[in-house]
Amino acid sequence: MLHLVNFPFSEAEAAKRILSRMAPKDVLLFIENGVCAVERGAPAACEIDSFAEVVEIYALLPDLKTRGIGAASLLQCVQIIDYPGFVTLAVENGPVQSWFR
Amino acid sequence: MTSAFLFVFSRPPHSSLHVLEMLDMTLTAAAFDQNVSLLLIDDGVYSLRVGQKPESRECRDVSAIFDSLEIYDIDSVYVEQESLAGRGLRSGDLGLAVDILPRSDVGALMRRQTVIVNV
Amino acid sequence: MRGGMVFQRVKQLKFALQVNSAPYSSQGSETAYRFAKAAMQLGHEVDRVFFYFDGVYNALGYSAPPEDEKNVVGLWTTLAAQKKIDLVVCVSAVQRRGWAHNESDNDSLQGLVAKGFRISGLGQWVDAAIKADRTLTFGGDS
Repeated sequence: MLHLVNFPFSEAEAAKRILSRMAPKDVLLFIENGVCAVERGAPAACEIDSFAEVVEIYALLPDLKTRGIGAASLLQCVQIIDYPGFVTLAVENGPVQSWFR
Repeated sequence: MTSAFLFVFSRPPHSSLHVLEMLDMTLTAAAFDQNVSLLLIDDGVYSLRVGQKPESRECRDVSAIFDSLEIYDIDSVYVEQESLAGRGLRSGDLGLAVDILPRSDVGALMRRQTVIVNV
Repeated sequence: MRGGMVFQRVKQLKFALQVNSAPYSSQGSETAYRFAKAAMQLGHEVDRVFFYFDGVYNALGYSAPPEDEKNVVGLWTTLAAQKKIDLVVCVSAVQRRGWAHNESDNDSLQGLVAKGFRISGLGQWVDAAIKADRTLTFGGDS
């Protein structure tokens, strides 16, 4: 299944709480303000990094660009996709669940 | 056609209409004879606490609405164990018989659904 | 980079979308719009977008941001004019927020409800979700 996250985790605990509700082979896409979570040095970067062994992790390109986040500053485990890629993730990984704030 | 709907309640009641509007969706899905389940996590668990006195602020008693779910043939009401424990609550503090679910099982519950609403 | 166009177009799915946040206080409506557009460009169907919670404010017809700013309401209206897509605003959410009487009152709502939108009930959302292969919700507070 596909999980959408639209907010940056303010602390490691918040990330763990949400990430531990996902299961192996799930897909996690960060959108909107959520893309700030996958920068190196973000509050829960270590938790996200260690979770990359369990789920595939993506970030939405237009939201990265808007916020001035370049590919070079992202965690290595993160793949960048555009809107057609977002649609394809939703097609290939139902159901879709939103973790929004 | 029947689909599996899961409504995820993660916000506290009473400060906004959020829980009431979520319940409206839930009951509408149930009225369409769908397989409807609820999952309460994080501050969402406060909705089920007994002893709410909402009349002091002209609110609705949301625990009473949850209580009426049985009439609507709702499949299951799940409450995440860690969310309860993390707020000093036990199942006895809830005004409804629920299925307590460990956080590690939430992912599996979600994957069994067709539609998940977590607003 | 992984883009949708590089995949073989094997599966054509039906999507139902729900927008739960107001147009300018969060990005959700715009994200839903861009998702809907991309999905249709890839050959998928987006039958219905249901506007609920504060998402109903996306249908306020008198929305008129300055010309050099984004017009989110206008994006939806334009999309509805170009494609077969049903934009439904929830009547009970609208009534709670005080900008319409009831769904049979459509005539008096002329102008108030932006072009391309219609007011109806939650049943329209359930109906769309049942028929869709995938249902996505968009919104949030930020």
